[in-house]
Amino acid sequence: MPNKETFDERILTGEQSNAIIDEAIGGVVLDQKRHMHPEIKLPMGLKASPWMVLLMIGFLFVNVLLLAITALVFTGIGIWGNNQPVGWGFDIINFVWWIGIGHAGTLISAILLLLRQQWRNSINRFAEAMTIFAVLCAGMFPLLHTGRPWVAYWLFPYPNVMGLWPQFRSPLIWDVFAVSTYLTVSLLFWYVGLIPDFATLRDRAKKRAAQIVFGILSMGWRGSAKHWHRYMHASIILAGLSAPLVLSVHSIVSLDFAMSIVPGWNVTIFPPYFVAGAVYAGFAMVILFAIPLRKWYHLQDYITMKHFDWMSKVMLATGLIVCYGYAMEWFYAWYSGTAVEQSLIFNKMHLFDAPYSWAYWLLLLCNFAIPQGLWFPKLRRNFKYLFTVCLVISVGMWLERFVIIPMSLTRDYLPSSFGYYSPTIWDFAMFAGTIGFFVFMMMLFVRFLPMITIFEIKELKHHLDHDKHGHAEEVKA
Amino acid sequence: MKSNVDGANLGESLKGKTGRRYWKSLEQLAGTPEFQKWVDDEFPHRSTLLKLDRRELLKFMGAGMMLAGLAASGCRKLPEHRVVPFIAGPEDYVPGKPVYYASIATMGGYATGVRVKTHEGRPIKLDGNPNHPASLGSLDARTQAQVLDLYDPDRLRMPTYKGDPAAWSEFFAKAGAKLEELAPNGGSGVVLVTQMVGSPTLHSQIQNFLFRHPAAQWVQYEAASRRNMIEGAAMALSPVTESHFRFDLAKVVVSLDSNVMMEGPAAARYQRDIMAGRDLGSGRTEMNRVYAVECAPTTLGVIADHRMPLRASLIPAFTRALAARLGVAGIGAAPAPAGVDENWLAAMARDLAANRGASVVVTGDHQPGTVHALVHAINEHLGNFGTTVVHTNPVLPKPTAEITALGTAVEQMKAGQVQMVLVLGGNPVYDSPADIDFKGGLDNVGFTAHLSMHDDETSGACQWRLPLSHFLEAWGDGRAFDGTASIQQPTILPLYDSKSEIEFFEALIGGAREGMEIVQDYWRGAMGEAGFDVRWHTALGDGVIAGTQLPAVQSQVLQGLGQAIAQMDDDVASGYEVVIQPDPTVFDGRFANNGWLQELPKPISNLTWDNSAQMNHDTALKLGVEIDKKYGFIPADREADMVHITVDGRTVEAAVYVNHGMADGVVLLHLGYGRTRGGKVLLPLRNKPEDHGGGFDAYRLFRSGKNPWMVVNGARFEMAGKTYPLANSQFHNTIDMTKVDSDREILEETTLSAFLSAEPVEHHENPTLYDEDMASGVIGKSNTSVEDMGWNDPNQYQWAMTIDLTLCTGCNACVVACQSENNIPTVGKYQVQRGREMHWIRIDRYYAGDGIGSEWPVNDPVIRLQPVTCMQCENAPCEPVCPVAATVHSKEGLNQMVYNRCVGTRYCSNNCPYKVRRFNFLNYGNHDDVPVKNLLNNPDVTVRGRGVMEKCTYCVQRINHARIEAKKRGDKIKDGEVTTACMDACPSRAIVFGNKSDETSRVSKLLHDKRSYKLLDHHLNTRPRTVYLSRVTNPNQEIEA
Amino acid sequence: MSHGRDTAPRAYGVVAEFQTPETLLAAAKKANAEGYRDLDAYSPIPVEGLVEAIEWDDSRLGWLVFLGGLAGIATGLGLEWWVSTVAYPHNVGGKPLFSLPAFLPVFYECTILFSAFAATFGMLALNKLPKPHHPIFNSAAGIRASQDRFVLCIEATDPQFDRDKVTRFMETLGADSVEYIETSEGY
Repeated sequence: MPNKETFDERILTGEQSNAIIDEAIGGVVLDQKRHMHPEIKLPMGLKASPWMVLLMIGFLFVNVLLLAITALVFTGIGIWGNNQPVGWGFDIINFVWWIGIGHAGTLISAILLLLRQQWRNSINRFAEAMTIFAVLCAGMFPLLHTGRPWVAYWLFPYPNVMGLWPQFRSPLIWDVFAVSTYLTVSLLFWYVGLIPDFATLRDRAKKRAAQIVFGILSMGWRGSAKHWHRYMHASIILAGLSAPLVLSVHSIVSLDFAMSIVPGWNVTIFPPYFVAGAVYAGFAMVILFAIPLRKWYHLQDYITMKHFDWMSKVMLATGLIVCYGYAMEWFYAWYSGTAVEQSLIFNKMHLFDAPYSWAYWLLLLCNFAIPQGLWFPKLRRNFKYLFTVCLVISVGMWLERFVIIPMSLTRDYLPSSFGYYSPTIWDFAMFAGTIGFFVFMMMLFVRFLPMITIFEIKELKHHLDHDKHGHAEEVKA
Repeated sequence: MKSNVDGANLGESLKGKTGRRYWKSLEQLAGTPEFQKWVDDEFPHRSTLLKLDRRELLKFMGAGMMLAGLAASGCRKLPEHRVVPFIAGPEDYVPGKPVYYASIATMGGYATGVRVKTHEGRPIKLDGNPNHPASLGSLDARTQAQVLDLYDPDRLRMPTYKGDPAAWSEFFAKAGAKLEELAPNGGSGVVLVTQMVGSPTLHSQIQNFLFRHPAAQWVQYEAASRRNMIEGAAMALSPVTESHFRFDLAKVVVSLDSNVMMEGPAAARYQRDIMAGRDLGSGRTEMNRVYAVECAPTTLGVIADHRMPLRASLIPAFTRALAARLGVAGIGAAPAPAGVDENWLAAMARDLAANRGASVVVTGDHQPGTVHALVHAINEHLGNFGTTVVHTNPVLPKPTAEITALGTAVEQMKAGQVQMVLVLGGNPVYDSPADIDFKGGLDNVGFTAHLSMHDDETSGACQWRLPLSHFLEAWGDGRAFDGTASIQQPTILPLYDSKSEIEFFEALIGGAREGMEIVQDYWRGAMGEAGFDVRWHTALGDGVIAGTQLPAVQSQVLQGLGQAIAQMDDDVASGYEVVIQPDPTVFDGRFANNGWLQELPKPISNLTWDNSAQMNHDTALKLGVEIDKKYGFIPADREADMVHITVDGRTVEAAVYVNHGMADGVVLLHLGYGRTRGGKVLLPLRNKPEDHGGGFDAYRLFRSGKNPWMVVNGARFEMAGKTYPLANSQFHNTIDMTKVDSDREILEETTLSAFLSAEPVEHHENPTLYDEDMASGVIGKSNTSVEDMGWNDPNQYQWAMTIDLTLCTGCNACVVACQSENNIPTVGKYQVQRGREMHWIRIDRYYAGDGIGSEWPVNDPVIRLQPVTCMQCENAPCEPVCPVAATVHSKEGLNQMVYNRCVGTRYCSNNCPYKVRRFNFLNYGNHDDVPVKNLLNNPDVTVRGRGVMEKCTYCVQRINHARIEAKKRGDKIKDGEVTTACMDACPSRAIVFGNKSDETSRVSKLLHDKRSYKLLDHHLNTRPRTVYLSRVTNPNQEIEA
Repeated sequence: MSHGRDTAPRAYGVVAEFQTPETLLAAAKKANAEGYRDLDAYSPIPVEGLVEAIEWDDSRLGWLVFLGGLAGIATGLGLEWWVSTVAYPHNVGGKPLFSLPAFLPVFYECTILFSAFAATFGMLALNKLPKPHHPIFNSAAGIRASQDRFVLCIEATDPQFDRDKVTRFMETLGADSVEYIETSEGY
């Protein structure tokens, strides 16, 4: 990938016109050939496009996932590493990790919309796509981590012959409502955003099939001024709803822990700390995809250095909030003066005695030390560094959940019940499987849907032209 | 590999046949090659999705048990006209209502009274018989677990000759012929090998046999014999008597490397008596004082007020020093052995002297005879003879195991002078001393037969393998430690084509009587005809034969014993010494195929499924074992190093377990492991040995010399350079107790004097988030607090439990009782390693002291025990986190677990601060392919499926049973009418359960005891219904100072 | 195109095609000033001030969402109250049957869910979407209105509508092209 790119402040570069934008973005969807290059060499003299390679790898791991699920359902949770006292291991770690990754999408499309950040336009579409696929991955784990997944539907409040109902004090029920609401609203928001682009594709499509499919999807959108009026109204409202939603979802996920009495879980700072961590990990994932995609599909004019600059700054900020959370853990271990908290910190940090201290120090390295480079513009604009940092952050955020979930459980109140947790091959299979599923879905997405919001880029261009012509910045309704 | 004969279609082919006819058909079946193949194949259905060893195991068991099941279904009906029930007779027998019978279980020739609970004719649980002196209603773990052996699929099912099915008739024909042939020269060349014989009937039969064949030899052998005790008595006493103790009368108890509460014929009784002397529950204000000098921590040492680790080989010197301090005649001046605190010894001596006639000094079976002899001298000197030490004539006809006789017999076999060997029970090929080659002897004999429950090592070396009946299947009798005789009555007809020893001898001498007639005839002879039937039925009903207790006899210590012993110089270890003991759970190996005992954590060490080379921290370091420097333990995430131990050129390879509190330089090995034949449970699995324990065979170091229990010198050690995973139900990292406990206040402890002077403490109520304003006035009935809705209502039963930490010895009887009562599955070694054992009650072990650095007294720690089970919290943290309300509170204060509603999120377990919830990670309890396992199940308790959480329920099935009985009577449940299984089993009576809303109940009295405290309550406001009574010790002020 | 309710083709309106939003906006203002009322404009991007220019407004959506939110709270909290105090009361960890603090997350999420449904489907309903076909698609300009053309349409239903007059008026607005479109649908 390009290591050095000349940096300018613009968020839309190159010679642009509506037609060019249509072609550059819409064309990716309408023209299969756009996915067939650049060609990269594979072993045994094979050649394939990165898109094809990722699609295939993703597909492979989707099958790993299916195998792991089959084994799980037929044999039982026992194939995992979970035990007494560690009731939750990889299953819930991965759940929280995936949910977190989803958050960037909603944040970009909702909160940045409310904040009128123009630079959101180029990245919100595929960030939202990531949200949806990440939530799908996340959703698998709460379902499959139950001892009897085939009765997991009992968590939903539905009238049954036995007259049994869920227990609404349980954070797990809150999860059910939060996650399902989050998925639904994200889908609605995503779809609403897609309608005008579907119309564009419908009218540009040469193939009959594409015309019909996009025709149906666009619902006959015709860009009427009156429609636009209600449309913009609706998207502002949806943004206004999504903002508190996205904050509440990860807060509620964090309550799974904060509401319990497990030392290391029962922590008041968890909600903001989890949300910040989510955004942190989410932006990292956005960048991980943005860097190669803009290259492969020649979208450098739309996703510019400025965008990466912005996203890096957001990561830096949220990353520091997360580290503040770590600092607080030390603080209340000291301030509370209770041995359970102190021995917990000891158990996290003590290099030689604590069985998992490696995870904790690695986590600090990943989430605190390495990302500090983002302070320096030079590094922010160095793709090699940026890409690496984002990988490191993704690992670090996973480790954070590892440190929080199983590690706290291994040492709680009665020392006699102290335990040890070691995952099995099946734990890893499930995790790798969901990653594969995620990549697979992303590749299908870039193939079949415009990965950047066409009409918003046009709008953006229009506004930028105005600024160029010295017009006063018009405020968009 | 599939076989077209498997349990299922075999079952089909046998449908409708009775147990008896079925055997014929099995013999035919056994002929067919498929069947043979299927029998030989260890895991017939090796097609599971994942190779999970335990499930393969179950599948195999399944098929086997199915056979047993069919047999059982043919045999289930009770012989009403013969068996007299303990409580209610068959005439008012109601299906679904348990029927209880009194019987006995015999070990080492001594009987313990049991109460057998049967459902529809299936024995499902063993409790103690309150009338029986060795039990008084409680029962040790080993005896309770023997009900599982009855349904063991690995039992011998039919007589075989050289592996081929045979009929009993054939055997007796051949044996008879052989005896005829040898009759002319008085049956010389015939050797009978039995275990310790305590049964009067059996003994009379053997005498009868020996009368017919005067030249025949009878060798009585058991590895775990009390040879040294007998030797000591012979050395010291005249007349030679057997002594037992009245600990209930003792104010001071001194144990010189003994474990009287775990080993020996009266273990449970002694535990009851000793702990009764420490029970402050009933308002008593005095306690006995226990001193323990021992080479390894025992249950007695754990409860002792003063404990001193001391090498086993130094005990003789220590005993002499004690005798000298007490002024026993002839000892003269004897220095205390190196490392022993003079003041400690002197203070103990003064304490003994101050309690003349009210003290007991005991020593262990593995200590040499001289120590036993000197202890007799000490007890006499202290005036304990006739008060706390009672002498009777030996209870067993032949009190001791004849190791030398066994040796000579084997020599004769090898020399070809033996034509016929009948091994009745026991497993000498496995458990005879290493220098006696019993197998070699058998191979040299023309006619060999082994009567045994399992096809074990000895059966493997014999031509005839004869199935032995389980004691729940057969008539018999036996004597308790004090001579009290009891009848052993069957509660089910034999599941297989088996015979008891008694039936065997009857048939061998050509008799035709059945078991009951044989026993009855003997006792008719013994009791006389007059009113025999009445006495017989009373005896069966009570479980004891009135007035059969042996009378006390006067016995004195011989003159000059002191001098004699003073002269002796005992060999003292120069390097490391090896001490060999029967295993705390599988004993001498006879219970190695019992899953409950294999998975039962061994007292204090909490090891399961394996034996180990146990040593203290320093010894392990010196040997070069890798040990966590900071904590002084082998971390949970690491495997144990292995060590080679060589004695007389015989080497064992053992995993090292660091057992804190052992004497420096002592290596403790347990017998009973390293079995090679005799069942699936005891064998390491082929594909994954480390997953299935099995341990090593310590008998290789077990010598027929003068004291087989100790290798004082001449043992060589080197690191094996290998590691081995030990399955420990509790990790070692409970060591930094005082540091942790200073805040957590898990264990509360005080001394007797402090306790007596202490003011009653009032327990504060913790604040709650949900006060009235918070909950009130929102919607409709919203402000109903749970109290308003009738929970915790003092007008209803409110169940509660107290556990007295002063009384718990960690004997684990409660654990097995709970497992048996509540259908708790065993999970296998691998699952235990993963931390998935299912026991609903566990005994936590803590070492007091600061784990960091050297200041922790790593070689002499304070060891504390705490039984933990579901606390039934009123504010249960597990309940609010359950998304489907699968665990909710009953109006009687039970924290209920609704198995059918549980989806298995495990959140409740995470949120349980006591970690008492257990999750079915796999289908542990599944018996679909193991139908006979269901015979053992308690029909009143749900069998939990995969993916479901489970936990202690305060034995709710018993509560409801009592509720029904009370309703029928038309009044309320009386105090003591409901007992939990753990409470029944506990020999110390440490657990009390009852209705706390009844002010007069024992439990509510104890709840207001000064010592009562609630675990973690003031941190978490869980308001447990199970309350602990803090541990009170009675230290000797002089030593404290 | 033939649709269910075919009638004889008749006038739908006259469309004028522009290059930029600005010109469209100016044209719309003029048309409005001319007194035309049944106006609509079609554009690939939302053009600020356009609805104001044709003096048209609709703010019902906000109210729909508000009602949706109320319904959400009612459903969530109502369900929780009814289940835990009436239908299925249990002592759960000694907590009151109605534990309001613990019930908050669920009805909060319900509120957002219902509002979001109201916003999305309300918008579509008010816009009478989905509507696969519309007369505007009969004009070339209408098709490009989803890409790079800005289209003004004076509809035949306008009281002042007269084909030639309107066409002439449109040409004065500097449109690239002016086109008269008919529809055979039931308008």
